[in-house]
Amino acid sequence: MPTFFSLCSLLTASFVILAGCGISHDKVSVNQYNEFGVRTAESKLWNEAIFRWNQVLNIDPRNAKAHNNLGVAYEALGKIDEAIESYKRASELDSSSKYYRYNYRKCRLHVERNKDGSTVESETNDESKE
Amino acid sequence: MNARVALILAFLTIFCSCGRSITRVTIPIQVESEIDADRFSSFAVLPFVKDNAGDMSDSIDIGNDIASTMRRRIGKHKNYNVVGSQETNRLITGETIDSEFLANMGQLTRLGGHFEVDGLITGSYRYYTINQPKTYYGEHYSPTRRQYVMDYQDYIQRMYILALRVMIVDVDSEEIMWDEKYERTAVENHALGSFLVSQITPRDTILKSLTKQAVSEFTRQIAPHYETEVRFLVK
Repeated sequence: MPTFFSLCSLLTASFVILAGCGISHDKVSVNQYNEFGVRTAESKLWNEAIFRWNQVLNIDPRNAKAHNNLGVAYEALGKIDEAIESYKRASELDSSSKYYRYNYRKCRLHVERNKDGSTVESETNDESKE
Repeated sequence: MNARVALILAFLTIFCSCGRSITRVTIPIQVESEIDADRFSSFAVLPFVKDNAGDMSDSIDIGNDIASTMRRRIGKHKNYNVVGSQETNRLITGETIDSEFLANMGQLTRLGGHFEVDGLITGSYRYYTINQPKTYYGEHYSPTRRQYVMDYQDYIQRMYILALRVMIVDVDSEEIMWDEKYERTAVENHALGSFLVSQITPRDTILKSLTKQAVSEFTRQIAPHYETEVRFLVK
């Protein structure tokens, strides 16, 4: 009987340890991928950085840092719609971060500025047609 | 004692890691042209007209230099074609480009049609200097008195001002679709001797620099270009 109990406790302990190892391994991977992405982004290797941050999101889809960093990478490559989407997701996941809000606001400002320019142009065109 | 050291180390670790968690990167941001770049692809630049308003205007005539600088700058952009200086001079031979000409829209659009361009760039400029006597107040340490003593120095501040007005005439619709002013200044401080010398020496360098600055601002507005902005990456 004591052998059965000790066997059960041993199994439970092994399970807990293995599960814990799994979680910590994922965390390490997420941080490693993220930091590697940041380093490549510093060297302007944006496509490599996007690949790394997508790997982070495959492991942890609710990682606000990866969403924010992806937004920066997309914006740098001129993919503004994707950038806005990523910044928005990052701000939703962690609304307390001033950096996510800053990036998101700046990107929207940039979009609005270009949109205003084209609106003025199209209005001018309409007037001249009339 | 050990607990205190551990606490300090913990704080240091937290602060250090906070400092490293953010990385600033600069990214290129495309800024669109403020004019319809699809509609306006060819330009002719007329010599700029000297605006003689006020008594302080300098006697130097730089209208052709401004136009040449502008042709060069606009010509660098792949979206735009500019009529060259020689061709422009040939086509405006016999025309009097003055302030009355600028006010006559019919003449401007006729000339634009003659050039076969979408937009005619023209305008006026005013280049003048303002001299102001100034006094610099400072203090220095006097070893004999063993205290700081106040001193002052009179000097003459010379300000060079270039006010450039740039217009783009839409040749098709016969309307002015751009009319902006660009003012650039440069300041020189002179003692009386150097001031007298500066009165007689040529000011080409300053003038060219002011012209380039004003023209650059205009071309940045009308041509699509990239600017850099800071974004934050989070580790």
